[in-house]
Amino acid sequence: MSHEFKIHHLTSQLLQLLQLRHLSPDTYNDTLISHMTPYVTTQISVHTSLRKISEHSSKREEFLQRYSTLKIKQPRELDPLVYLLAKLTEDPKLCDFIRRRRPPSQTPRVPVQVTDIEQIDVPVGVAIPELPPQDTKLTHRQLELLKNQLSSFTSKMEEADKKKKQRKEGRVTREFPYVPPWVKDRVYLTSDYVYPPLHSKLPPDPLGGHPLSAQQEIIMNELLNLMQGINGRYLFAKQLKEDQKRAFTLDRTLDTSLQSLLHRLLPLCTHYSLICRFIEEHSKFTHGTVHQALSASMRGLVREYLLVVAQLETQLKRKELTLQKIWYYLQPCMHTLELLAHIADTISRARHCHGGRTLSLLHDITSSLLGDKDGHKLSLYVTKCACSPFFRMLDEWLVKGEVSDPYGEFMISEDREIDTLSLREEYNDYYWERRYTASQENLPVFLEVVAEKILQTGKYLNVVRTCGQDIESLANLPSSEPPAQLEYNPNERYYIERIGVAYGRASSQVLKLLITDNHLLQHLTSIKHYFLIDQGDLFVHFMDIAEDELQKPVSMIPLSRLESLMELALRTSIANSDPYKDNLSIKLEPYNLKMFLRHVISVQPEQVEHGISPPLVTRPPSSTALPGYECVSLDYEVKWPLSLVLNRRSITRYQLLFRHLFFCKYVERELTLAWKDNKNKQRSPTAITPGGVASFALLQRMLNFVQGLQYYMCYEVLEPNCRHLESKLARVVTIDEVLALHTDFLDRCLKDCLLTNREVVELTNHLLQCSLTYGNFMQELSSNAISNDVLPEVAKYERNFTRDLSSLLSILNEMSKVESERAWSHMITRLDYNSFYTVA
Amino acid sequence: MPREIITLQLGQCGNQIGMEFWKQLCAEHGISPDGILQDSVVEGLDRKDVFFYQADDEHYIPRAVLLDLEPRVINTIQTSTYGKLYNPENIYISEHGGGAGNNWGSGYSQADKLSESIFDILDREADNSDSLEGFVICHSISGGTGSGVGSYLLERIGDRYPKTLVQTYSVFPNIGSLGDVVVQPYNSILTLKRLSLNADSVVILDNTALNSIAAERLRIPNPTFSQINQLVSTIMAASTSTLRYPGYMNNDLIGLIASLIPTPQLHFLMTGYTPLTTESQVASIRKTTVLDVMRRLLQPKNIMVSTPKERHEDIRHCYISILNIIQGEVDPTQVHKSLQRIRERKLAQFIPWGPASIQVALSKKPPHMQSAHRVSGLMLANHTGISTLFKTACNQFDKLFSRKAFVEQFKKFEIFSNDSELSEMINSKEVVMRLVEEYQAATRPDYITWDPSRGGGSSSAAGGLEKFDSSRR
Repeated sequence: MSHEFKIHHLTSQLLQLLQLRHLSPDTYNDTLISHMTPYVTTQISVHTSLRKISEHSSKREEFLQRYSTLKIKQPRELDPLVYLLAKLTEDPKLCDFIRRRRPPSQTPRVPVQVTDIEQIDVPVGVAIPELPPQDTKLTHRQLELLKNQLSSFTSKMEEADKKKKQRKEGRVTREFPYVPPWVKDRVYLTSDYVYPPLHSKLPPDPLGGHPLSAQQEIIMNELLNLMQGINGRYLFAKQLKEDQKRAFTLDRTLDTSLQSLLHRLLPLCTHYSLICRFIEEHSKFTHGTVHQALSASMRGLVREYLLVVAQLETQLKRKELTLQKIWYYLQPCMHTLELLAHIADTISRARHCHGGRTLSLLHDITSSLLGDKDGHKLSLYVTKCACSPFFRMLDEWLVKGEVSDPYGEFMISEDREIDTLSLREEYNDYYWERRYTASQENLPVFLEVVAEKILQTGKYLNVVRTCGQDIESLANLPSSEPPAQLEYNPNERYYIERIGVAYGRASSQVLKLLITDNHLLQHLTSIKHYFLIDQGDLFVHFMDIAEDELQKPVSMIPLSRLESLMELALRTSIANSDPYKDNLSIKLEPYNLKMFLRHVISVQPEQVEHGISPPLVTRPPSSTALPGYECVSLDYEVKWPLSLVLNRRSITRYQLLFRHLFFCKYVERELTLAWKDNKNKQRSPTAITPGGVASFALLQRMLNFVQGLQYYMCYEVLEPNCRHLESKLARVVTIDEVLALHTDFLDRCLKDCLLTNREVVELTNHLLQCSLTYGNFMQELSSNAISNDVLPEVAKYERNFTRDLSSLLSILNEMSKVESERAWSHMITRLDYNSFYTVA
Repeated sequence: MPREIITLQLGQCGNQIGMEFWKQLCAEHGISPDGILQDSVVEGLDRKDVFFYQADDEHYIPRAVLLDLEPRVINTIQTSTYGKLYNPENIYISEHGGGAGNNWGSGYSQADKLSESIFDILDREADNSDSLEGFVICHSISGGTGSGVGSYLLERIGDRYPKTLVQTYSVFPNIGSLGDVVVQPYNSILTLKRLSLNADSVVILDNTALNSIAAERLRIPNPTFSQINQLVSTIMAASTSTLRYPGYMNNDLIGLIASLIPTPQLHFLMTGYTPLTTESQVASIRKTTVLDVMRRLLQPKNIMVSTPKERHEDIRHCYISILNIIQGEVDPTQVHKSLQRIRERKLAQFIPWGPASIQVALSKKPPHMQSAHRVSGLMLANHTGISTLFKTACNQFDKLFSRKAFVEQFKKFEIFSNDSELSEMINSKEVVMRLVEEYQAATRPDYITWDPSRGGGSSSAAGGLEKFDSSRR
C-alpha cells in the first residue's frame, strides 16, 4: 500500500517539475507499478554502463574523472544513476527528444551534474518580500515598511530554523565534550611537520661540499628525523597546499645517486604526514567513535613504524647503516604506510563522511585488496578496529533494542517524539514506521543484506521492552548460548547467520507477546463479531431497541442513550460471553459512509504525506442533519502492544466495512418491516389488487438485492478472507508478517466489498437509498388494502431501481473482465442469477 | 432476550412432532432431558433463549404450549424422560377429554369454548418474552384437534398479536388414499382456508412423501410414527438453525420468511433435506460436498412434498424462491461454484417475472452433536407446483361434497348451525381454488399485472401498469 502511494507521490512530483500539471499521475501509476524491476548493482553492470556512456561522450576523460570523484562522495546513489544514463544513451529517440527540449541559451553540460550547493530552505508559506530596485529613492515611510517586512521575514525564517533545529535535535542529541582551546593553539602538539621549519632561517652549508660518506651520514640523520615528523636542515617539508600531498625540499647539491635513492624514500614521509594529520583530525569528538577507533588503530600501526625507525637509528649510531640498507629495511613499512595513507586519503576526501558510511568505504577498500595478501590483512585489521564501536552499538540494539548513538553514526535512528500513544490517535503506522528508521546513509554496505532484519530485530525488542518485559533475561535464555560479540567479517554469510539468530529470537518473543500474552487472535475474532457482524443477533436486537433513536437526525441523538442500548444489546445477545465486549463502544460520526468514501477516494496526491500514510488523515465535511442510522459507527479500544496491529488505520477500515454492512442490515430491516406491515392486506381473495402484487414484487426485488449484496460481502468476501487470514496467522513467524497480512486482509476486503470504486459506491448507495425510501413508503401505506393508486409511484421506484441495478451490473461486468481474479463476478451471479436484469 | 419464538403443539400429531423437535433442540444445545445444561457446553456459540427460557434455578424450559383434546399423547410425553422438561402450566388437556373425533367442527367449537384458558397460557408466555417474534404451530390438517383448534387459533392469534409472525408446520394427509378418516377432505379444505388467510408461512410436510422417503431413501419398509416424526423434527431444527446459531445473515425469522415469500398469499413452502439418516441407520460411506448437497436438494425424491404431475402441459411450474440452509464446515467459495453449476445445468426453473431468489444461508453444525455427515442441507422452497396438492385436495372435497356425504356430522356444531347451505365449506373451497389460481398465475411472465377480480392475465390494464411491466425492457 505505502509502496503504491510512494510511487504516486513521486510521479506527481515529477509531473509538477516537468510542468505537466494537466496530466494526472493516476494514468502512469499502474504502468509504473507493473513495469517496475528491482535494480541490482553489480560491478559488471556499472562497468558496462560506464563504457557505454563514455563511448557516446565527447569528453570521455572528464566524465570518468568526474565519476571517480563522485563515487567516493556518493557511493550508493551514483551507480543507479549511471545505469539510467546508460539506458538513456541507448535510446536514440529519447536522446533526440532531450536534445530538442534543451533550452538553446544553455551551454552544453557534462552529463552528470551534482548539486553540491546546499539549498536555502525557504519554509513554505513565507514569501520573500520584494526589494525595490536599488537606484530608486525611498521615502521614509517606504523604508519603514520595508524594514518591517524584512524583520518579519527574518523572524519567520528564524522561527522555521529553530523549529527545524528542534526537530533535528529531537532525533539525535549531539553534544560534544569540552575541548580546551590550547589543543588548537599549540602548533607543536602534532607529530606532523611544522611549517615553517625551525632551521629555515639559517641557510646551511651546501651539502655538495662534503665528501660522499659525510653526505650520506648527514642525510641519513636528517631522513630518520624526517621520518618521525621532524624537519631537518637539508631536508624539510614544504608548506602544505590545499588538497595536495606533502612535498619536501632537498638540498640540490646532494650527490645525485643519493638524491635518487632519497626520492624513492620520501613518499614514505609523505604518507606519514598524511596519516598523522588524519589521525589527529579524526580523533576529535566531532568525527564520532568510528573514526576514533580507526585513528586509534592507525596510531598503533604508526607506532610500529616508529619502532622500526628507532631500530634504524640504533644501527646508524653503530655506523652499520647505509641509505641502501634503509631502503631495504623499510620495504614492508612502505607498503603499510602507503595503504594507510590511501585509506586516510579516501576517507578524508569523502567529506562529511562518518559512522556507517566510513565503514562502507573501508569495506570497499578491503574487498578491492583481495589480491594483495598483506594489504588485505592489514586493511582487514583496520576495518575490524574501526567497526568495533559500530558493532557495539549493533549488539546493544540487537540484544536490548536500544539506540545509544551520541554522534549519529548508527544505521538506526530514533525519533523520540513519536511514542506509543500516537497509535491510538493517528490514522497510520506512524509509530511503527517512523520511530526507528534505518538511515541509508549510515548503513554499511556489508550489512545491506541484513539491514531490514537488524531494524526489525531491535524494533521487536523495543515492543517487548515497552511492555515491561525484561529483555536482559531474554538475552540470557538458557536455551541459546550467550551471544558472542559481533565483529567485522568480509563474508556476508557471517552476518546473515548471526543476525538471523538474533532476529529469530526477537521475533518469536514479540509474537509470543502479541499472540499468547495479549491474545491477538481472540481480539481479532471479537472484532470480526462486531465490525464484520459475523454474529448478527447483536445488531438485530440493537436495531430493535434503538429503532426510534436511529431515525432521528444525528445531532438530536443522545449518545449516552445509544451507548446504554448498545450495552443492553451486548448483554442479551450471544456476544455476552465474549471476554472483550467491553472494548467495544458505539459512536456517531457527523458524516455518512458515502461522504466518507467519496472523501477518501478523492484525496489529492499532494495530501498524501510522504507517500507513507494513506489518505485517512483528514475528515470529510460533516452534516448534522443526517439520520442516525447512517452515522452509527463502532470503536474498539486497543491497548499497546496490540495497537501495533490494530492501529487507527486498521480500525478505520473496519469501521468502513461495518458502516456499510450496518446500513445494508438497516435497509433489509426496513424492507422486511414493510413486508410485515402489509402482509395481511393481500390475504383475502377480495383484497388482492394489482397494486398490491406489483408493490410486493418490487419489494421482493429490493430485498433480493440487499440480501444478495450482503451475502456476497459476508460469504464471498469477508468469510473466505477471514479464513485465509486465520490460516496464515497460524503459521506466521514474525510480527511484520502479521502486520502485512492484516493490512492486506483489510485492503482485499475493502476492495472486494466494492468500497474503493467511486462509481460503484455511488450506485450501491443509490440502490440502498432507493430501497430504503421505498420500504418507508410501503410502511406508510395506511389503508386496509393496497389500492391501485400506488401503481404510478411504484413504477417510478421500479424504474429508478432497475436502471441503477442494470448499470451496476454492467460496471461489475466490465470490472471483472479487467481483473478476473477478483470475486466481483460472484456478485453478478448473486444479484442476477437468472439473468433477469441483463437478458431483457 | 430478543426475538423469541413460541411453539404451539396441537393435537396428537402436533404433540408427537413437537416432542421429537424438543428432543432434537435439547441435543443440539446440550441440554439434558430435565433442562439442565451439560457441563461440556461452551458458551458463546448458540442462542438458547430463542426457544428456551431459564427458570430461577437456571434450568432451561422450552417456550412451548402443549394442547390436546384427549390425554393419551400428552400423557406419554409426561411419562417419558423429557416429561420434566416442559412447564406443566403450559400443558393443557381438555377436561372433556374425549378428543375431537377427527372432526374439524368439533375441534373448532371446542377451541372456541376453551379460548379463554388457552389465551391465558399464550398471554403468559408472550409476556415472558421481550420482543416476541412469532408463533410456530405444529399440527396436522386432517384430524380433528390439529385442524380445528389450529384453525381457530390461526384466526385469533393474528388479531391478538398483530406484530408477530405465524409459521406453521402442517402435516398433510396421505392424499392418494382416503385413509382412516373419511372426512379428511373436509378437514383439509377448512384448515387450508385458515392457513391461506391467517398464516404467514406454512411449511408443508406431506405424509405421502415422508412415507416414501422413509421407505425408499431410508429403506424402512414400515416406518413408524416416531421415525417419520424424526424426519420432521430434523427439518424443523434445521430451518431454525440460523436463528439459534447466529451468523452473518438470516438472524431473524422475518428475514427468512420475507425473502422466500414475495407476495403474501404465496406462502406455502416445501422442504427437502439431505443427507437423510435415522438413528437405526449407520452412516453411509460417502463424502458429502456442498455441490452434492445442493444438487440433491433439488431432486424430487428428497423433497418432502409429493406433487402429482400436472396434466396440463401449458403450466410450467417453477421455483418462486429457494432458501438453502447449509449446515457444517463449508467453504463459501464452494457454494458459489455449486450455484453456478446449478445454473449451467438448468437444474432449477425460476419465475419469469422477477430475479431468481436462490438464497443460501450458511449455518454452523451444533457442536454438541456427533454427526455422520460433514455437510447437510435443508431446502425451503416456494414452488408453484405446490398448487397441485391443493387441487387434489379440492377434487377430493368435491367428490364428497357433491354427494353431501358425512355433512351431518359437521352440521352439529355451532359454526355451521345457521348455515344450512354449508357456505363455510363452499367459501373455504373457493379460497383454496383462488390460491391455486394465483400459483398458476405466478408461472406466467405477466403475474405482476395479475388481477384476481378479472380472473387472470394481461388484459389491458391502466397506463401505469403497462409502463411498469415494460419499463424493465
